[in-house]
Amino acid sequence: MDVFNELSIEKLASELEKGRIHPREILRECSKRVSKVEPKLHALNRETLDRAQHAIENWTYDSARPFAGIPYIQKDNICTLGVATDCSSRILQGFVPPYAATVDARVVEQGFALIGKSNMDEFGMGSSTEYSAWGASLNPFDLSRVPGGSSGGSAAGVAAGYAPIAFGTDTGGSVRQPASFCGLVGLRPTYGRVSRWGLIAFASSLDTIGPITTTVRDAAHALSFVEGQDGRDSTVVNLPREDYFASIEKGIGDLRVGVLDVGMADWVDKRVRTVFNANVEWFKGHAKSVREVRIGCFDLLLAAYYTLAPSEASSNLARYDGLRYGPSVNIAEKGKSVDEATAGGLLDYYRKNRGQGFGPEVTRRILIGTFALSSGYYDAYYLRAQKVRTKLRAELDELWKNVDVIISPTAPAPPFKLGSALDDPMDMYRADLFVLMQPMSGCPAISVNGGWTDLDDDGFSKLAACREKSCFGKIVSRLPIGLQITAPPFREADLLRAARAFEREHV
Amino acid sequence: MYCSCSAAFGDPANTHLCPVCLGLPGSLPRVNRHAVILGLKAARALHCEIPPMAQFARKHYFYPDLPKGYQISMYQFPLGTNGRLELLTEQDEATAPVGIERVHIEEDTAKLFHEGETGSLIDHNRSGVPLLEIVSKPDIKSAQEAVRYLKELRRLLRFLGISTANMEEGSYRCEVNVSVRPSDREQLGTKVEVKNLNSFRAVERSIEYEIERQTKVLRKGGEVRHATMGWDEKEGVTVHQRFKEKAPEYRYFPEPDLPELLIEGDILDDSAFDQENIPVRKVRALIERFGVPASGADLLMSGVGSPEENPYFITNFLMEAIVRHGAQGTQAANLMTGTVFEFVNRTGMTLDQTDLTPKKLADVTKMVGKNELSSTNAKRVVNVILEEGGKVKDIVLGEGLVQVSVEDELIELVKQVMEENEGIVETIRKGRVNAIGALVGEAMKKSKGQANPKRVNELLQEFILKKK
Amino acid sequence: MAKESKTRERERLEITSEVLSGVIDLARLDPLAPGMSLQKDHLKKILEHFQVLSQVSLEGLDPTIQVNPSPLPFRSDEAIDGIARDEALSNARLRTSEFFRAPLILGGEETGES
Repeated sequence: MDVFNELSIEKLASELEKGRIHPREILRECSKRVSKVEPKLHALNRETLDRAQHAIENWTYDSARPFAGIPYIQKDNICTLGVATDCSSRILQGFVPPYAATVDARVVEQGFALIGKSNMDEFGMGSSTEYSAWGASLNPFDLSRVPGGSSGGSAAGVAAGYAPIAFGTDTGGSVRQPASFCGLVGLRPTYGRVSRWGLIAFASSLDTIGPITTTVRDAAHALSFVEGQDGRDSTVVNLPREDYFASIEKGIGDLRVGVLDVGMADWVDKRVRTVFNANVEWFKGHAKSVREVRIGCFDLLLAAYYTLAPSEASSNLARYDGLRYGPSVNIAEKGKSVDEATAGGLLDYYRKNRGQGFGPEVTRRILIGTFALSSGYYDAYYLRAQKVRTKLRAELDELWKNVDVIISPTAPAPPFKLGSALDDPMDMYRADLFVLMQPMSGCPAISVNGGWTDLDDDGFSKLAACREKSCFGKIVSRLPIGLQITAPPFREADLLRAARAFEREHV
Repeated sequence: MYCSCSAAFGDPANTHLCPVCLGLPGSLPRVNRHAVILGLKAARALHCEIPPMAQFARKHYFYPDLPKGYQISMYQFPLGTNGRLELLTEQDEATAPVGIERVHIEEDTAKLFHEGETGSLIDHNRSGVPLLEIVSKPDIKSAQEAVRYLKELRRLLRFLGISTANMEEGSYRCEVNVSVRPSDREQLGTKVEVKNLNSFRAVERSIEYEIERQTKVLRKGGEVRHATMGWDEKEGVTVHQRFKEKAPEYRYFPEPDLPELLIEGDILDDSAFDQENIPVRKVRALIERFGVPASGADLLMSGVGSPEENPYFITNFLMEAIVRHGAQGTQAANLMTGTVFEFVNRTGMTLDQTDLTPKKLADVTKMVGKNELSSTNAKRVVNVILEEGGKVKDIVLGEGLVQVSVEDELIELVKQVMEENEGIVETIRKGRVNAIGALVGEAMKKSKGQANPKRVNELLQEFILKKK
Repeated sequence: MAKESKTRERERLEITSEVLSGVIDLARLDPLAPGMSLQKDHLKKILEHFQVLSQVSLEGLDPTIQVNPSPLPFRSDEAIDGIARDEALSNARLRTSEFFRAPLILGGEETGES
């Protein structure tokens, strides 16, 4: 078995423990892949290979830190101490955080070595990574398609073998959907499980941080060492420590499964439907029970989410005024002195910085949000959207009486072509239809690879062999389709168990 | 309010910073429990209705001194509503209280220094310091009442240990809303907001100015426009800052990073205190029950001469003297407001740094009550204790201040004086009664000031005028 | 009667160009930026689409203010050292050795709160 072909933190840790490899070799292999593929893939905003080199310098195996020496990718909206963090936005260009996000500090404490900050949709707003100020990342399976978003760079990087693990952020599906588009595992934890300290805020009541990995067990490991109280995030819930590995291999013989019925005929791609139907059949053969479940307010979720998230975003992005961080002279007017560039006064300064610093999607959402929070519209938009959440929560509480998990496709279509969803913003928003239910209710969810499109059916432009060997030991010239499993709040143990059972028989 | 940076005043600029108060991307607020307790105490002291739950809210506007582009304040669910501040009139008589609309806590902004032509400099030391906002109801009907309100409120806040409430240091800031209406109209007139008030005098003058200005406008048949004015201390006028035609758009919404504040359990316990103990009630008690003259009560509660300007220290002292050690109220109060205050003002010391104790004060007044010490000498004894220390009896004996009040000794003294001043005695008998004063003076001289002048006078009158 | 009030509600919620200009101003975005008029079009369509929220009965529902019913955690009233001044200033482009700087407030800018 070539461990570099199936990068997984658990497997690498085992090899490191046995002394069969050294972190230096891992890093060398990953660096090779980065140099070969990154010029095309553009998954990273910046590489930190030197830093990683330094981090593994004095490595010796320590059973208390079994993952030490393993590379990881951090999404560029998570503050890394001393490493530039710009959320793929012009307005934060050059910002170097003087502090570390809790999640990053805990990852570093485990001994992981940062190899780069990943590209993303600006401030997390987007579902394709095309809204990055630094240009889109591409899907390693087909370079003419998107890797998903907003954590597209993280997913692309892991799928291309840069590192066995990356972290992303999931506000409206941004960990799960790119994981799905890149054939990986993406976990969105329950809101309140993982601290948001150091996560550059998009929508405060919807943002979560989650791992993007190649295996379910790796995701369980990652959750275990980043979750929990840190004394800084007031929304983190105090919970007793859970051992996910006590139950993760248990199987799903006792699990009651709900299949999300949303009248999928029209708007779900038939290839996705084919794969999903096969997935449902599998669950029927293994779970305790399978039944269809309906969410009454499903049709409201898009409007409610896209009112709420932009509202909170418009608030969280009000701090970007160019006075404390970010490029503060008019970006297009390089070469002007500070005095010249600020000669227009404060109002002009705000307008130029924010006008030029934010991309079109971010601008759009700031406008939506500012509107929805203004008096006169607050009741009809923001308040109503918050009420939809309550309604959804109530409906789900009813459902959870009869099912332990709910399954659905992660995305309504396989990874789409670059540029195909940019004309009408609503097209991009509709890509999120399956992944909004969880942020709006606080529930955790995981995306695992559910299957693939067929080669002939798809009309590939070219094979995208990003590695010398094939992906996961199989010939791949198809597009990945994700299966999403949702569980009640704080029931990640069941989530991981179900995902693991499925993965065991499908990879 | 939401971070652990020091709130110390006067340190070099931008030396108390952290991701939270600087509003760095990724930072999150964490609420200071003590600030909540103090805020609740204030709400309760102001007799507010305390809700079961309070909620922080974001208030948005753009300005260089506001790092996040919003302030974490409170909006729909403050700490308390619908309360009142009890007041006294200038004559320390009870008067109608001023209603309190609401009390809430929030964070301060950074400080801007205008640099003239080039812009502003920003110092974030102050950013995030807890602020307590108290909004009064439109009950105040004169500039003087406004100042009395501010003074009583300040006294209350200082007494409760909530704030040093110092206008000059910026720890007590106020904005005034003034409106005028014809006396026969129910509905309030359009209000004008006045800012940049740095002293009580400014508050008083600006209100008077606005009342006059608005009255003139209305009398001419014009309309008062809703506006924000700045007070120009030098010129003594309010100056337009902006016309506010519509209310500002703050886009308030509940702070998603902070769960609701449930006001129950130990939050309630720790903010509890004895309602009877508040300054205004103490003043009234002093006057009504302990015979303290009204003019003295306010001075006693002022905090002068007290460690940390604690407005309750002096009165505690006085009360202990009266209640525990039997001091005569009026006398003790007069000694405090007279001799003691003169001393502390002169030396800058506080009473606790001197040798005077409530018992000693009581002993002095008791001696005066028993006629063992004249009022004048009482002051002297207290002064000596303050200046040098010592025991009351020792000082009285040592300085020969014992008042001669024993009747026989006085009669003896008076007879002597009469014998030595026959001429004056004659003139008195002939009708010049005033001349008794001169004889009293002689008696005092003879007794080295130890005679009880009142009794001497009485005896002289008896012997000279009534003996015939 | 119900029909009338629905019309009035629709009028009130109408998203005019004036409203959109107001929003651009409130958010301190650049009204003269290229593409802003296209944004206005997009915005109008999106917001009109979201009026579906008004068409549903949400009677008797409280808004979700908090995702999880956890209590507000507190912090003790102790001062802790934070970031050094130089480090904080290093991210700012407008600065002196001690202060952050802001451009001059010319006419038309709000003077502070509101």
